[in-house]
Amino acid sequence: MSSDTPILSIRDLTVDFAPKSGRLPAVSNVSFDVTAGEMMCVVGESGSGKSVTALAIMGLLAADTAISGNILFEGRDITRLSRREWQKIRGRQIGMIFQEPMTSLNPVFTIGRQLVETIRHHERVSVRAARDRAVELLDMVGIPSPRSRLDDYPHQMSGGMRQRVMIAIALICSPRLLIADEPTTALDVTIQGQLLDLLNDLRSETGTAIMLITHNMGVVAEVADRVTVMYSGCVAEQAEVMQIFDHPAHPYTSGLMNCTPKLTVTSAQLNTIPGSMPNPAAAPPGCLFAPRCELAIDACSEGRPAQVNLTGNHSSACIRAEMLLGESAE
Amino acid sequence: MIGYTVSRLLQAIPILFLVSLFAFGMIYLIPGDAATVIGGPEASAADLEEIRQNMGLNEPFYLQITSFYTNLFQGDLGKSLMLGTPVLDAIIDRTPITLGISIYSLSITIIFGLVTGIIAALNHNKLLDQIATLFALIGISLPNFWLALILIVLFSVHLGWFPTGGYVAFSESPIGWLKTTTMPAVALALLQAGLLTRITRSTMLEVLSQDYIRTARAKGLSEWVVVGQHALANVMMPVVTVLGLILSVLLSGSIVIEVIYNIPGLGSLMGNAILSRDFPLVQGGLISIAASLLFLNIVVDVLYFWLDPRIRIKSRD
Repeated sequence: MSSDTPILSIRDLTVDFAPKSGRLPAVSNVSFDVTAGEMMCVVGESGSGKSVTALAIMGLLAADTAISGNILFEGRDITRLSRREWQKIRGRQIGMIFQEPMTSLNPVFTIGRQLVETIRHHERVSVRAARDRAVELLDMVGIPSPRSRLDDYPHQMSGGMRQRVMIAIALICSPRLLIADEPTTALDVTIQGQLLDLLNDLRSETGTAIMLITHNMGVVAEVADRVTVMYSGCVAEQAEVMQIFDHPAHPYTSGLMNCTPKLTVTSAQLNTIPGSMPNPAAAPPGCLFAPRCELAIDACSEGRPAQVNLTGNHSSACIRAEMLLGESAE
Repeated sequence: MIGYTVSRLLQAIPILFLVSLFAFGMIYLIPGDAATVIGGPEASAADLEEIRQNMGLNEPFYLQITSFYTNLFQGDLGKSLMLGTPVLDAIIDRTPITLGISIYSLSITIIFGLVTGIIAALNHNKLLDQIATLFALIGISLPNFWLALILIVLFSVHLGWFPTGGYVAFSESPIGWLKTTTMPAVALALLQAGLLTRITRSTMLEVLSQDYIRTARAKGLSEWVVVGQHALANVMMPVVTVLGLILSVLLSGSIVIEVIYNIPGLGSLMGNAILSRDFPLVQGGLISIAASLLFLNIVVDVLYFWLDPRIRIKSRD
């Protein structure tokens, strides 16, 4: 499935917004790895720092953000790269797909042009060769009669089709890593499944590692190899997908799983996690999840809990993790 | 595209009709009698009667309006009272001069407005942005007649770089043309350039925050391509719309500017026609300026159509 050398390795990544006018941490001390060829899912609510982490990897954060920590891509710390060097990595070695297919393509350029310019930016080929390659790519992502679609504008395509085009663009240079930021959230459920299948197929064909950002535990269960759960800018839990579903070691993870509607259970109300994420400017001193946690004890509000290694690759930032694991083992 | 152009041209017909009707009605809108206004206070009753006869003011209304439109369709706009020559000839003579200055002025507006607008947006909230915004504000605030006078004082009287007025045709001496038209063109352009700077800046800021710009960056494209192609192509649409408005302001602003710089263009012709109560000339000028503005706006609309594929497809369906 996957070799063990991480191609992306994030260590203590902290991202602060508007550092001049008071620190506003969006991501704090996040560490995780993505190994070659695996599907790593990053899960969490809106505002948990998933997208900010992804944009930090791409170097696409706004100018008034401060990044500290290390982002090692194939052993090289890309946070120290110049803008020019970063441009060489973007699109070539790391591709990215965004949440909003409806607005992610330039409305005044044809699909063909947007593919061809990227191909010709990264490879020295003729326009004709680039167009042929664009047709191949569109065919690969499952767009019917791709050649005639080249001269279409984005608004002539459906959301699902546009997201396929985005995937095609991201795949141009067969990147080592593909970051997909909630690629199916804005799409119909039927299309969601198709796109996830497509991503999974592409991964097994090309060996591209995928970092899939989602808030949907159903998606995680379907495609993930490994899962990183994020809450309020911090990593709550990390584990192999089976471990996390069988033995969740953080109350937030269990909370998220309970929130996924199940067809087999008839209940009048959908499950929720009561409360909302703390304001990063006024975060509580202890565990950030403690105010919403049913299992919180007094110790939870005394100091940030550290990541605890449980078994193998499984780690959790809950001081009661051992207790939780013991419970689920029974 | 051709269908769209034709439909826009057809839409212009009723507008032109209304304008010509207004031009015709001008004679009736004057308080009292057109003949007394033209003749002035010293005119005798016989003089007034003669003016009425010459202008056909004694004819019944329906005859006056039919002869007005018959002549109009034949390209006959009447004879200027002031010049004694056909109105159409006078207008055709003067139009290239005004058009030349307007195009020169428009070029200055576009280059200055677009460049400063883009620079301001790229340096959002930094010093360069503030300087550009300040200049735009000054440009918008200064009345162009005042600016025209200040330019004369500075560059003609003190520095002696340009003549204080007059006009040399481009065919006679291109350098002479540049010398006589640069100050009027700049005086006309500055206000519009300030406006265009502000519009370009705000549109560019909006476009730069769009998802597709992030996509373009994520593709690894250079900043030059991201801004110069992906962003600019989207900025051009609102800018082209404004250009239509700017053109009409440039043309109407030429009346004041041409009088100040003593340029024998359409603007000063109209100014003199109004002052000397030359009704046929004012009528003819009104109709021809309205027609050329309509035409320019159609050009802008067609350009817009060509720039924005979303409109293009809609009209094809």
